[in-house]
Parts: sequence; structure tokens; C-alpha cells
Amino acid sequence: MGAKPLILRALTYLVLILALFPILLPIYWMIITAVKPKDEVFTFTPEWVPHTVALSNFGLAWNSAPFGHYFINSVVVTTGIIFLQLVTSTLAAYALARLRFFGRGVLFLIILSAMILPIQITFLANFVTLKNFGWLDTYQGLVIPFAASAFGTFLLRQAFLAVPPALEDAARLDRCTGLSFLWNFLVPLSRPTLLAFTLVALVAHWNDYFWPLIVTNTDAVRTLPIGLGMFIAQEVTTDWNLLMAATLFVSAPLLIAFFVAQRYFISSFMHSGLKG
Amino acid sequence: MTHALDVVNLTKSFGATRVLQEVSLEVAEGEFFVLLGPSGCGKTTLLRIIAGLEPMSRGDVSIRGQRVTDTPAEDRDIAMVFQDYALYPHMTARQNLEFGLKRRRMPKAEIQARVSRAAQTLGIDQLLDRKPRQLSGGQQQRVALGRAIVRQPKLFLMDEPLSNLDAQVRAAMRFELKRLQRDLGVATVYVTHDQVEAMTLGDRMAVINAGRIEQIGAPLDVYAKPANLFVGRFLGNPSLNVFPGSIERKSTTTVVCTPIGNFASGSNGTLASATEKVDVGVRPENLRVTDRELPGVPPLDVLLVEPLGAELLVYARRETVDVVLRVPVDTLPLDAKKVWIRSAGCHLHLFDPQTGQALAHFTAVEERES
Ligand SMILES: Nc1ncnc2c1ncn2[C@@H]1O[C@H](COP(=O)(O)OP(=O)(O)OP(=O)(O)O)[C@@H](O)[C@H]1O
Ligand SMILES: [Mg+2]
Repeated sequence: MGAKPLILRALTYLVLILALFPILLPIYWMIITAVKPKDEVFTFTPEWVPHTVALSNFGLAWNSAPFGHYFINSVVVTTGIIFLQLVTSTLAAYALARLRFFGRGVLFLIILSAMILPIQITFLANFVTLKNFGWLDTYQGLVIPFAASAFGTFLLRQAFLAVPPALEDAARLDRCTGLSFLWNFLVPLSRPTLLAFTLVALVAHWNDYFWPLIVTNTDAVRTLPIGLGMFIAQEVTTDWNLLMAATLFVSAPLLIAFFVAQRYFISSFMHSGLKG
Repeated sequence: MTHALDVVNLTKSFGATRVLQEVSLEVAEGEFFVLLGPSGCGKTTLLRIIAGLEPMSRGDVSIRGQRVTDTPAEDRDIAMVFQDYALYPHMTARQNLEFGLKRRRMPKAEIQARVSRAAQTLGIDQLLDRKPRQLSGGQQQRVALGRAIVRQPKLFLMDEPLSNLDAQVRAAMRFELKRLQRDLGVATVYVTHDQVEAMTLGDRMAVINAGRIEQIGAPLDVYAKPANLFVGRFLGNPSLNVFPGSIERKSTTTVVCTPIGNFASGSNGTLASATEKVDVGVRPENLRVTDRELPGVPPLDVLLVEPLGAELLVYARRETVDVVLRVPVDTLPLDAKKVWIRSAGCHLHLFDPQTGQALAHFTAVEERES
């Protein structure tokens, strides 16, 4: 990359900052509303900086519904799903990318088409199945339907295909074949893809509303988005500051995850040296 | 005595394309064996079959007398150096060297000892903590060699390991490779399409063309006595001169008549097997020449004289026949216009014009009228 002219760089940054504005503004507004006392929430002129910081809002919000419990449920369900998806996608992608077997092409096509189907098409069948299993209102009911991911399988297959075959030959002469090769070579060499997929899955399942809404009936297994939805619907419709505080601790883990992962993300891209 | 490697009647097809045909060869313990052939002739395929990385269609491979045809690659105790090195990009040089030993559950102390010994031999001890992408081509090449050496395998297989290096590094590595192989005494099969590498490195070599072995022998023997026209042409730079000739049998001698002059064999026995019409091959350095007219010898027009230092490359022509000569620098003035071939002392190869098989190799003598 050559040094761009100063003007061009300044323009680039200007455009980027302008683009950031509509993204950051609601987040900023959420944060300041979350710490405003109740009487400062609605003012005639918008208050961009809160006069008093009412951190007590967080405690109030946290205690006005079983958020602690929701939080634990969300963590259990999301990590469970991501763990299972990583395992199944990695294994399936390995088979699709590196093993020769009858029907491989057709199988891959089927998986691709599964990627296109939205959950709204399968949820009824899944729901009935879970009901028969007696899995409604359980962790299994929240996790198992997402134990495999067509998208993850596809993504990882592409990443595994990019690992040169000569590497597999060399590894084979070093007595590293099959699943050892997967674990010692394909997985570490596909770290950027694995990380990207993990983040995508994290967002999708941490924020998932549709499925948990359908299969949960009790607080014992409800996840944060459901809890938040119920909190909004039932309890404190007018207390916007508490609502925003609750929203903040629903979304904070994701924001933090992205913040942490971003640096690792960039460095792992540079280290892998596989792609541009 | 058992050989390090035996390949018997190996045939390989990819679908309908036959890539290797009835290939047989043996490599002695400690021998440096070179597979030489043009691009696409099946060298890599042969090497991969020996390694067990590619299944064969027919034939047998044995290592140290044991049939390994059905043994998977990882159990053949072979180490291979790949053309593009295939270093493990996510591991340091040290980890690259250690990996195969760890997978074989070797004790830690032994691994340490082997790695540091190999690193010293190859002069890479300072580089062991770098990842492959932090190494130059030559350094990567050493690491790849190191990875093979530490294994102390029964057999080394090397697929054009020097071809990615620039000329200077390549010459230096060639020398080191030869020395290393001698010190280690491990039988080596080395693939190349570079005849200089083949000539300099090989104890013996096999010349391969279109999936068939054309000739096996010590490099100098193959060079001096090519079994057929292909081998004759493939070895040597500039390449073998070839022109049509005819045989004339006289009472005490047999004469080969060619467009650039006649060459007498001295005795009739030498060329007994020659057919009436032959293809005559002469290496550029095997022609003797003068710029003074010789009676009864047709003159050649000089097109170009290239001084190489100690020698001259002379490009000459007689009617439609082009001839390249390599002669000592004091043989001709640089501005010579015509030259004559002195037949006595020229070394010739005769080939069957139909099959290309060699009929005879001989050095011409002064023709005496009788
Ligand atoms: N997997 C394959 N499927 C089909 N044909 C193949 C395959 N691998 C090699 N071939 C063909 O087999 C022939 C020999 O290939 P090979 O790689 O052994 O040549 P080579 O002598 O090593 O050439 P080079 O010097 O260019 O490396 C080529 O014609 C090639 O196209
Ligand atoms: Mg090759």
C-alpha cells in the first residue's frame, strides 16, 4: 500500500466518521438514558450529557425481573449452541473438503440448500418433535435444534479447501492423518474463519428471540431477550431509564466480545498468511 | 544384498491416461539416485507412488526388501522434501522439525538432540524460532531438508527441492546436498528436470520420457553412451547435433558418410550392427575443427562464434544442416568464415532412424585408402 495523498485520507476518514454517526448515536443514547434519573429522561430539549449519573438504575432494573437467571440461561444456551456448532461444522466440513465418498457433491448441495431455508419453514416440525421428546421448556429444547449449522459447515469447508494438499501429504509422512490432521492443521490454519463464524453465531443466538419465545414457558429457562421482552411488556413500560439499563446489560456482553475479538481478529488474519 | 528400494513393473494411469509404464528400478543402500526427465513425464507421480501418497495401477514397491505396496505412506518410514517445501505455516522451524518425531512418540531428549544436530548441520540454529514465512527461500529449503533429516528414515525422496531457488543459492545448495547425503548415507531418490543437477548429484540416474524409463546408469556413462536418440538429445547443452548419414562398408573399415564429412570406424567390427541409413549424433565438444581447408572435406559456413571464456561456441551450417561446435578458444579466430571438420578423433553416436535406438558409439580414425 502506497501512501495515499493527505486529502484522500482525510476524505476517507470523514466518510467513515459520518457513517459511524447513525450507528453510534442510538448506542450513546441508550447509555446516557440508562444512567439518567427518571425525571431527566423526558426533557423538552434533548440532554446530551446527563446532569446526574444514577448508577442505581442498573441495580433497580436488574432486580425488577430475574435477569440474573436469564443471563445464566443465555450464557448456557449460547455457549452450548456455539460449542456444538463448532464441533459438528468442523467435522462435517472436514468430510466435505478432504474425504472422498459416494454422494459428497449431492450432500454438499443439500447442505447449501439448508442454508437458504429460514427457520420459519422448519420451526413447526421442530416444535412438534421437541414436544414429543418432552423437551419444551428445557435447555435441550433451546440448544439441540441449533446443534448443526449449514452456514458454518459451508464456511469451514471453504477454509479447509484453501489449505494446500501438499501440507496434508507432508503431515501424513509425519504420521498425522485423519482427525489428527484436522486438529493439528486444518483447525489452527482456519482460525480466522472459525473466529468469524463464532462471532456470527454468537450474535445470532445471543439475540435470538423467535425460537426461545416459542419453546420456553417458564423463567427457569428463559433467555435474556425473552426476559427483556417480558420486562418491557409487563413491568415498567414508562421507566425508560430502567429499560435502557436492562437493554444495556443484554447487549453489553456482545459489545465487549466484539471489542476483544476485533484485535485478535486482525492479528490472526495477519498471522495466518493464508488469505490476502 | 537387499536394495534400499525396488520398483518392479510399476504402471500408473489416471483414468484413460497412462502416466507411467512398466517402470522398474532399484536403488542401493546409500545411493543417490536421480530421476531425470522433461516436464510432465511422470517424475512426481513416480515419487508419490514410492512414498505411498498415490495409489499405483499395477506393480510392486519394496523398501529394504520388504514389499510396501499395500503399506500406507505413514508406515513406510520415508521422508520427503516437496517441491514447494510444504512447511507447516503455523509452526516455527523448530516445531516443523519436531513434529514428525513427536508423532512417533520419541523421547523428548532424543528429539532435542536430533533437532539441534540437524539444525547445526544445516546452519539454521539461529532460525529455529521463526515461522516459515519469516524465512527466505533458501532458509525454508534448509528447514524442509531438516524436517527430513531428523527423521533418519530408510529413504529420502526429493521432488525438485532446488527449483525454487535462484541460480547462485541453487549451486551452493547442490554442493551441500550432495555432501549431506554422503555423510548421512541414506538412500535418496531425487527428482529433477535439470540435467546439471542430475549429472552432478547422481550416483546413478534414470532418464524418463513420457512415463517410460529410457536409460539407467551412472551419469557419465549415460552421457557418453546414450541408449537412444531421446537420451542423447536430452542430456548435454548445447544439445546433440543430429543429421542423417549412410554406411559405406569398405575392405578394412566402415565409413559413415554425413553432410559435414565422412567418419571412418577403423575396423569393420565396430559398426557391424549398423543399418544402411542411420541418424548420426555428435556432441558439440566431440567435433574437431580447423579453419584451414582440408582436401576432400566439405566446408561449413560459420554463422556465429560465441566466446565462453575458455571455449568457443561455433554455430555453423552446411546447406540445410546446422551444426553447433564447442572448441577450445585458441582453435579458431573469432572472425572465421569457414571451418572444416577433422574427422579423426570425433566421437559419434549412431541411431536407428526408425526406432531411435543406439546402434553404436565410436571414435573416428584417419581414413586410409587401401
Ligand atoms: N491427479 C492427476 N489426475 C490426472 N492426471 C494427472 C494427475 N497428476 C498428474 N497427472 C498427469 O500425469 C502426468 C505426469 O505428471 P507429473 O506431475 O508426474 O509430471 P512431472 O514429471 O513431475 O512434471 P514436472 O517436471 O512438470 O513436475 C502429467 O501429464 C499430468 O498431467
Ligand atoms: Mg513434478
